[in-house]
Amino acid sequence: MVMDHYSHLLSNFRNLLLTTIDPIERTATLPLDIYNWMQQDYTTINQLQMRNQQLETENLLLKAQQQQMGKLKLEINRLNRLLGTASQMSSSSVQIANVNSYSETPLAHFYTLNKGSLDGVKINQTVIDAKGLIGQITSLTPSSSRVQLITDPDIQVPVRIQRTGQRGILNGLGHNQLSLMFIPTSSSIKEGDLIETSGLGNIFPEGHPVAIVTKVNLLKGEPYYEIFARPMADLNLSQKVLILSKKPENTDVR
Amino acid sequence: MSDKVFSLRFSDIKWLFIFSYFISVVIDSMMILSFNVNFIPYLTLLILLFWSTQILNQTHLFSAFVLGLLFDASMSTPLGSHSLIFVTITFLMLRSRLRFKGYPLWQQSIIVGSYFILFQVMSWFIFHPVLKGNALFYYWSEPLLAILIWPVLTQIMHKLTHRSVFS
Repeated sequence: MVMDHYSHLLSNFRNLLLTTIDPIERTATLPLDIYNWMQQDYTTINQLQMRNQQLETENLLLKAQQQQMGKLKLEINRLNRLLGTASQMSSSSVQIANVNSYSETPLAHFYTLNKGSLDGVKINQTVIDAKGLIGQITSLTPSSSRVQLITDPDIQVPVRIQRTGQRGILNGLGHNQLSLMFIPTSSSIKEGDLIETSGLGNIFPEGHPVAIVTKVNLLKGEPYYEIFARPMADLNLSQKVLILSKKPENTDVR
Repeated sequence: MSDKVFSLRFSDIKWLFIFSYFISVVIDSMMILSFNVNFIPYLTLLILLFWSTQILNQTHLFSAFVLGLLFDASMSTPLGSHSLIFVTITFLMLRSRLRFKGYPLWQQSIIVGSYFILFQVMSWFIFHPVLKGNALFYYWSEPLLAILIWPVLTQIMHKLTHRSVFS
């Protein structure tokens, strides 16, 4: 128990156990699969047409934003060269995965994805959806993987407040709630502030939106605020997610 | 004959034994993965307690350990934690299984309920579960549900066992 909790020495054994129970879990998720399949089957043509139109509009907007992104990326590289610093930007290659099951128990919060080690997925890879960070891959089977969600009480994410750049640690509280720790009372923070990954620790890539501050309490005699936040990602609703893999860009170091 | 009635032999019911564990693990996983229901007691533990009172020439500690490991992998908890709880409860049942078999069904249910209270207490200390709002009530209602499920489960299992042994 201690070895598994504090180190990754037993992760291969855990993966082996997960592979063993994979057929059982697939059988267990059959009712959910049947429900999803029936829901899809009864979608009317009108609904599909409306959805298609919505997606086309979204696609157009994203393309326009991407054009600007390319320009901004070049500008950042140019500024970095001017300052004589190495570029911190790294591009990520993504892999789309379907959510096989979502589990929220008092003990753990996780997704099971339909991509595993045979698809090139690795432990500690970051998982996001269209809105923000979802979590991190913690175990693998050849055909599926487990994602520990950011709301899991055992996960800690190094983050920063986008508006001020103040760094802190985001902790899962379960029930779609997070707590932001180590923000000193001398710093500026307010409800509605966006929290993004800081990239420290080299596990979660920098700059991905994670949560929105929902409550800030100033406790008497305490050096830090008590801050609660809500995840940006639709943890209960996501059907498709993106698995990020790091692909560092060639950078000029002077 | 009396040997069969008092203590079942593994060879007589091996398929039922394996099948019952398979079905119970599938149902437990289904509750967590498909229906997101967290207040149903582990059917696998109930089945484990049932077999440990019926097959008396085995200790069932190895089964408890392996099933615990499978639950650890399935629930993403530290490896060995569910095993520890399962083995402890099975060991307690082994100490009193002969007396347990002689008790009426309602009394057996209350004892099983007390084992599930122990299960929840150990889980509380090992896993530090996040219990907010109704989750706290659901967490402590599991032993009550185990008390209600045990008589039904034993009746079903007795019928299936009888059919396997005497067919």
